[in-house]
Amino acid sequence: MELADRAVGFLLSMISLSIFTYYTFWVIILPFVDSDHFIHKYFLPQEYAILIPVFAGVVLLSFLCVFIGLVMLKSKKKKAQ
Amino acid sequence: MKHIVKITTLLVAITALWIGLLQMSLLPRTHTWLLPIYFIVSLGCYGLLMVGVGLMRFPTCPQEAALLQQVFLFFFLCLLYLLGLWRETVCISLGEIFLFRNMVIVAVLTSH
Repeated sequence: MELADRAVGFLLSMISLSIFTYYTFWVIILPFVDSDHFIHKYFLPQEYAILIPVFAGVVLLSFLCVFIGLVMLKSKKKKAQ
Repeated sequence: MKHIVKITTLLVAITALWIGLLQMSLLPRTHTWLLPIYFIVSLGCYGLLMVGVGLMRFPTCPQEAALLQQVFLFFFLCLLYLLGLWRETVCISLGEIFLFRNMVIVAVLTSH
């Protein structure tokens, strides 16, 4: 069980670090690089840097709302019975 | 309490700088929302990192923790070797990797 915990923790921290470095590179460093450098191949176009987090945030919020609605409906059903 | 005050003043200063840059038209209006979104994304990443580090950091079996460290080190060295093969800049042979790993195991065992 320790192994699973540590593996999950390691995976989570690696994912978060990679997302952070990728996003920092994308937003801060890339505008100052010449447009015909080879590194631009590895990064999506700059508009996606704003669209993807906004989209993810909207999806998260809607998921939360749906979840809260479902829990409220379930508790009401239980009270009615 | 002082920590939160420091962080909020830093945030307010950076936001004021951003708005000032926007107003002075040094920044195109299409890039208005870049800074807040960057802060939110980095906050989410920081939360995930803290959760991951917390999960990693409380082992209750010290022997298994040492074994796990050996496994991770071995895995990392194999990765380096494969990377060297791919890039042809690092010429570490497999025997040297095993030697290094044995040295590390001896060092870990003698330090306990």
